[in-house]
Amino acid sequence: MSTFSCPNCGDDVTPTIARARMVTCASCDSTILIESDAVRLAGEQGVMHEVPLLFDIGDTVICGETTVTLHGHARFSYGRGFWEEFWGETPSGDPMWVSVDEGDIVVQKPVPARNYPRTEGDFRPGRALHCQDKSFNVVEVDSAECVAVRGSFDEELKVGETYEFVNAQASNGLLLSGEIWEGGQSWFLGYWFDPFEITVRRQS
Amino acid sequence: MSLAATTTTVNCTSCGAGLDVLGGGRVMVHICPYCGAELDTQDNYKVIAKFDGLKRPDSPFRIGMSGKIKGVDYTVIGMLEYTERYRGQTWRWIDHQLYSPTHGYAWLTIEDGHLVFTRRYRRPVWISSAQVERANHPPTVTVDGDRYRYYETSTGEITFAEGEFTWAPKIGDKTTAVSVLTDNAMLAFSETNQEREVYRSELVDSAAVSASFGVRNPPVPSAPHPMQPDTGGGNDRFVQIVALIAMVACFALALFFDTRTGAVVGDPVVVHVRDIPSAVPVTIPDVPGPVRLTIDGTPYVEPTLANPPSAPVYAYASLTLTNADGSAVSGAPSRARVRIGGQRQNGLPGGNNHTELLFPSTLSGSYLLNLGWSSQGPGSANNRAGFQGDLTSASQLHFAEGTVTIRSYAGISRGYWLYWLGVAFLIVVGVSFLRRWNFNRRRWSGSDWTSED
Repeated sequence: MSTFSCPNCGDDVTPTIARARMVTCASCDSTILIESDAVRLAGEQGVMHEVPLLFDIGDTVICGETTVTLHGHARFSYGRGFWEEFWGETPSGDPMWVSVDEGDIVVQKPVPARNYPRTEGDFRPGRALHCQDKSFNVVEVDSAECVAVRGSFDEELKVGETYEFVNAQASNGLLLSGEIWEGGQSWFLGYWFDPFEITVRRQS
Repeated sequence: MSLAATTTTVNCTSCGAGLDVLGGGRVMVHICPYCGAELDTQDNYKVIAKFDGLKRPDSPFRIGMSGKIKGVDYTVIGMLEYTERYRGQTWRWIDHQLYSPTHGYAWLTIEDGHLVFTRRYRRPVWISSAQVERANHPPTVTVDGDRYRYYETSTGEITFAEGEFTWAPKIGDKTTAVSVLTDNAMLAFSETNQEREVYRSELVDSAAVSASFGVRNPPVPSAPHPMQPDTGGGNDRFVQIVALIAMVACFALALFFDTRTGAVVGDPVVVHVRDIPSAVPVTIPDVPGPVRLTIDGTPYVEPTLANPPSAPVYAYASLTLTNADGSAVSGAPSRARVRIGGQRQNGLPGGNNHTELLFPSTLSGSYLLNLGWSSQGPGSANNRAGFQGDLTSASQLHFAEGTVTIRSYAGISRGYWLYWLGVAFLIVVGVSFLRRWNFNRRRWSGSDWTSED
């Protein structure tokens, strides 16, 4: 991906990966959407207060047999606190999300839209969901607001947008997570990891 | 989730005391250490319960203390005391809720003076107390290559609580946990609020962790802990493997040496039965290593009885080795006996018709092998021949033809001492296993599993 000028401040912006659809400008407070023939301002990137992090953009995280190099960092607030979501790619180019929630790490890949679970009615803890021939039980339902983003992503994230999120667990430990917002949804499938068991290769 | 950076203190909505907020975004309640009020952190610190008159247990770890465990910074944010009563006995232990901004929540527990570090375990493993009740053998689970075996089922009652927690403990709440044990860790399975939880515990260095948290008087272990490592046999595995290899090598070499029968020295001496009793000169050659004297009797002898029995006839010749002057030999075996006959026709030499005398290399020289008669049989032949009393002459035999052949072998080797060395290595292996068995017996002595379960 070639360098382009920030539509807001004019500074050079270089996405770290070719497939990036959204990047943040390091010089100003802007998020920029990359479209097929142009770039446009998408909003502000929010304030990312500094807190201790296990890993950061540019680091490569090895969780079990999955290796992910992190390119983007989003923070979601639920009022009393927040959790971190890192977007990255595996060495073979598959997109992955690495979530850090009070020391619990979840590595998930996007579920294709055709395999989304049926979502009629309200989610509630204990409700059964079916996705990709597996059964899940909803263990957590809440809402959160995207408060800040940094780096590059392969999808658009809007700071200030509120999402309903759902976590559902299968008997084999597989975790199905959904983000639902007005007019859309995304689902992700993956596993929990212990922060004591992961390896982080820091960016040089 | 991380705590919003701006939130650091709140006032207790019951007594107004200032409370430090240390525990991150997952904290559900805050129990005021001053008035015992349980405050709902998700509902403006509303009082949801009050625990009066509780006696704070004696723990060197206090809320607000920070230190490193396994290289990660943790802060003590809450403290619970559990009490378990069973058949008149009472056990107490103190759980400290820990929080790390990067590694989340954990527990530090003081058990019999040991420090136990416990974290949520998210592997898909589970054993219920009902499974334990139904099991005929101690239930096991294998996860991440470690095999855990059932240890105990315990029900603890909360008897003290203060600080911040990720759930809402109540004084008097009881939790039943099924514990399984592997070499250096335990898993605990508990079911609360329709949620199954699995926790993994391991011992941590009490002195190092206490020092890191600024504890001046670390807890002192009062009894061995089931998770305590087997420090007595750090090289057990190595010793067992090496000793086993050495033992097998010794036995193999011993067998190899035993099969080296050597070569015949000189001509065999053949003594006909009719010439017995007789004294046969034998020469033990001066060669390196021991010399083996073999004595073989004829396997089959033709009975001379008019009405022979169906069983083969036989006789035993006695063998006594003396010096050439007739004096007794010392330093070597000097007495034996060999059977003549006793096998059916076409019987093979060796076996029961073979005996040996082994001479150390230092006993070369000339000797006399005195052959006499010992006994004969079988009883049916003796009866038919009317033979009774001592066998002293060849004329009393139930057969007429037969020989005793004496050969000397040199260049032989024996595995005798290698067998003993192999046994010594076997003892080393045995002692190692015995020590390990004794260690495991002690560490499992606290298990509540009985075969009647």
